[in-house]
Amino acid sequence: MKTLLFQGDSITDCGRITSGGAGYPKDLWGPGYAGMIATQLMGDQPGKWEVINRGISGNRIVDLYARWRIDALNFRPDIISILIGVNDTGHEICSQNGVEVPRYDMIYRMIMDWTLETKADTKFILMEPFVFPMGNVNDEWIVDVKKRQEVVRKIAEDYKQIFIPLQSIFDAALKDAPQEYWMSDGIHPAPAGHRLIQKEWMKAAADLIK
Amino acid sequence: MKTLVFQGDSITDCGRTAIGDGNNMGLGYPSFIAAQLLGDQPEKEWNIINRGISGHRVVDLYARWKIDTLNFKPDILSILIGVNDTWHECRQNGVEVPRYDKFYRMLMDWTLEALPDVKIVLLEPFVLPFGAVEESWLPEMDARRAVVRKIAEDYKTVFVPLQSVFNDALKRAPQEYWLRDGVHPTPAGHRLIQKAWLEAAADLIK
Repeated sequence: MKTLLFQGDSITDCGRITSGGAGYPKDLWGPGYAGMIATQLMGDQPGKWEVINRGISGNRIVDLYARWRIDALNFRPDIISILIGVNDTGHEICSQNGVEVPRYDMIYRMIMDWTLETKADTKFILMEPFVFPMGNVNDEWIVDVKKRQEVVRKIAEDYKQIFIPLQSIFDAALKDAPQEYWMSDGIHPAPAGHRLIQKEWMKAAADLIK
Repeated sequence: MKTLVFQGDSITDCGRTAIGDGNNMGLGYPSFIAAQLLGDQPEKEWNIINRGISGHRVVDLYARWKIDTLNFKPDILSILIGVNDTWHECRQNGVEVPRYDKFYRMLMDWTLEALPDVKIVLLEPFVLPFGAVEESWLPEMDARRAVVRKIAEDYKTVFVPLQSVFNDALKRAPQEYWLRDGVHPTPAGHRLIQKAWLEAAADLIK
């Protein structure tokens, strides 16, 4: 049995919490990429996977750090998939509660170190935060998110972990359909966008999940 | 643009009506099929609608068939209905097998009159003998399965043999892995439906 944990913000949460009622387990269900990957792994490889989603809407890197023990380490995951960063930008612009890029870098690395101290063979899948210039997303967002993309890419390199360049993937999808098709508001993927993430994740993680 | 409508009960609803205004795909097999079609075939401009409602029987589908199905003018219509027609008899509100057959065919006739070109995918109702499922359900569910299979034959629709799919899956993991309570699939069970649906409907979606 392998334990896979999804961590992140609303893109990972994707209705997990709010839709949990009526007997639907909050841990797993959700129409987003995490739910789709979980369902695919559990359906195709019965008995092999425990999959946990702990994405929470609105979270920034410091929110992940604050709940990292109970919502990550205590599960002793074999694989941790992280997508975080867009609220670190957005919450500054909207409510002076963002996390500046150097602090984002520092806390992200503290999360990596803490995890590897606890369980040295943990595998990470680090996903690039991404935006499209629509909805609330203006140039200020784009410039700041771009810096975070560099941070995550560098961390994946330094720690020799899997990196998924989601911004490039969404950019490339624009030749097939306009941005509104892939994202509902510049930040949150539409179902077709979640499918893109699912496919890239599966491809990038192929060695870990076979 | 191609319009695909999912109709059914709680297995199809799967949280949809509990979320916002209900204009979403829910959390079950329709959402996985929708994301796959939308993500993989952006050029097709899929318009995918879920109108499954928890607790519904075939007569409930009939009552809301116009506004919740025909008015969308689907190119493809997927139906999974039948388990509540048995289950609700526990409070004397089931639908007997002959009436189930009759109303199912009335749905088909009405649909084909209104939309002669529509392609229909019929999903076999299924149960596994645990949880909510009582021994007495089993022969009746067998009868409903025979009804749906015969309708699919008579109307030349796509048929998805879900009972066989779940029976086969028992070789790979116990029943609790695939269904939560004998009726409602777990995420792994929804994955089985997704795969069987895409395989059976391959010609309609390519």
